[in-house]
Amino acid sequence: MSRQGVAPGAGEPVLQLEGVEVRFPSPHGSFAVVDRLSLSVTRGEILGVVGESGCGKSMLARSIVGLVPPPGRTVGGAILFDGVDLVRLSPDERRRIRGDAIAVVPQEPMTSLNPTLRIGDQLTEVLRAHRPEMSRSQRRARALEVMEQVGIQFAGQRLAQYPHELSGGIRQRVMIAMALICGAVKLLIADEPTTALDVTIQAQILELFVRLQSEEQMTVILITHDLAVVAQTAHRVAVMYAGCIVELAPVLDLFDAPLHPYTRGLLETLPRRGASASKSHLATIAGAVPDLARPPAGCRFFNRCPHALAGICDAALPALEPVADERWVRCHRWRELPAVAAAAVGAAS
Amino acid sequence: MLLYTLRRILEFVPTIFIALTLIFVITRLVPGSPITALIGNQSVDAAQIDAITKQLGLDRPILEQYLEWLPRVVTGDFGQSLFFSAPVAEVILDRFPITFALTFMALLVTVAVGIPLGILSAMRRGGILDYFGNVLSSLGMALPPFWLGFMLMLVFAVSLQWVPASGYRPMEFGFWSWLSRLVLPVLALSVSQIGLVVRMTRSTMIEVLGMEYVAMARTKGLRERTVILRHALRNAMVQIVTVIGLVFALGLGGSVIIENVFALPGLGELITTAAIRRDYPTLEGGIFYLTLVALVINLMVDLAYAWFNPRIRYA
Ligand code: SF4
Repeated sequence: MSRQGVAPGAGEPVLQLEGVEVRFPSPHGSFAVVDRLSLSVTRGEILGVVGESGCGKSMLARSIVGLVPPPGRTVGGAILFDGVDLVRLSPDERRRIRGDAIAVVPQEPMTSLNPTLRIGDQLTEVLRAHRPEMSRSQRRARALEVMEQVGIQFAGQRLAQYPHELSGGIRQRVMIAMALICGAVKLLIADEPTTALDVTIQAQILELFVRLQSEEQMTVILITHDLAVVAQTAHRVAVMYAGCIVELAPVLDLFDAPLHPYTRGLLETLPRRGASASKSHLATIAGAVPDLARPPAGCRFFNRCPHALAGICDAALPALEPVADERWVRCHRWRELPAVAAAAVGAAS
Repeated sequence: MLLYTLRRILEFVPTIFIALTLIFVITRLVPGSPITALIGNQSVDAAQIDAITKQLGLDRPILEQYLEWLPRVVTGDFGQSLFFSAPVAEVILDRFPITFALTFMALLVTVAVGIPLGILSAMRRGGILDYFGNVLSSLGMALPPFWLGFMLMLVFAVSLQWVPASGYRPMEFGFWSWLSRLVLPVLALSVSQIGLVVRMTRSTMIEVLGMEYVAMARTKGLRERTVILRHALRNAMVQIVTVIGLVFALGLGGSVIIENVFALPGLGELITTAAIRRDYPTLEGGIFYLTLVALVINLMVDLAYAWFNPRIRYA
């Protein structure tokens, strides 16, 4: 996997989110699952978006494609894609972008494929929607071509098969082929693309993403709860918690020196290579995400943070501050924390 | 698919055998004898009764009757009707087109109204259309078809005089004259069926619309019409088809009542009178033909089911 040669963060942005807010109504008034989120995604990068389930990362993806499930709605902000604000487009204009310039690879290829339609029909219908000028045989040829590109063998045979006749890995390759079939994808959003697959297949699919990203020169947003996935593929990582980005950093920096206590917590849950069997159990971060219907006034991680300081942390929501080149963090105490953490390790040993 | 079809047809054999046996047993369990019904008020002596009994084979042990009856009946030969001096098969074939026209048209109306209404209700859940669909289907299912039949007759035939109240006229006398006598029975029969179909369509569509592949179809940038018809409805059809089969079977049963209400000389009416007159051969034949139709419908449902659901086809 070569990720050299792409300078993370450099170059023009392909997608710019400015204060994007996704809200759901509830009996206690509406709550934001994505809270005034701003983020810039650079052309040609793989951006990992990491967080526990319920942190808003999937809703962010749906907001970008304009398919927040009702009664939820994208209520504010701008989503600039190649300079065009998607939020202001008509439903039909947004539909034309989906599956063409912006494509999504879903988490569960099995349930995302229609069980009653042949693979070929499900692939070519994307072309029917976006390339009406193509003939039937052209569509078929393109489907075969793109299936080959994603490494599906016996592509001709596969076209006539139904989803239940394929293995999980092939199904996910079909989903990826579906995203590429129009040949014009600029932004690929992969929402937990490997979660449903077993480990060896997972690695193959991730490798495929990295290869395709450079082949197709597309930008990838890789949404996952698994930092290991991000470590293998992404250039840059956005860590999300309770609807907000809490840390944004190039992938190596993030793993070398995590700044936000939540990022550290996530890193600690990773099984360490070489750890003895007794220690290799997966740690989890204690506590639960706060009730978004009544978000705390201060830091949203307050109730779970080992470094929380009453009076400071719960007083105001920390801002996403620039720390260094390309590094941002949302924590009142990030400056003191490396020292505090070191002291804690010293005390424990 | 061909193999599947053949297998399904083969499964018919035991079902038909069981159905025939049941028909034989049940008709003979009914109290009363055809002889007394045949004779009516005429005064006859015991010798004459004996002669008729012998002629009909009713004096022999029931098992013997059955063993003689079954092979004959399997070939479709139910013997002579005791009342119509004609073979049962002929009597039935005379009546069958009427019942078929009634139930089939009712099914067409049911499907044409019920499925679109169900889809729209599911798409606009909580909307005005959904509300109307709900009220209408509840009402339709609550009203007994015979009562509805009388009401329709009162309004459209007696008060408004748009169509004749009852009776039947073959198509040879003109299409409208044929159709006008079927409109009300078809309506009476389909209203209750529509309720069932609307409800089933609505609930399966709601279920299917929540599926991930429907969300994925939207993510691919397909038009909403394609998403609904190609992705959602196709899957919902798997279950809707089953209901349609059930509705048709219920319609066959309902037609017995409706035919009596509207004095349509169909199979249902034939069975009713045959039962009253203890006309065993006609009764058996009539029920058997209804059973056969129900079985054929069942087969068609199964095949449609497999057609909509590839996982069945290859199982
Ligand atoms: S602001 Fe305070 S509570 Fe929040 S993450 Fe930082 S240290 Fe923890």
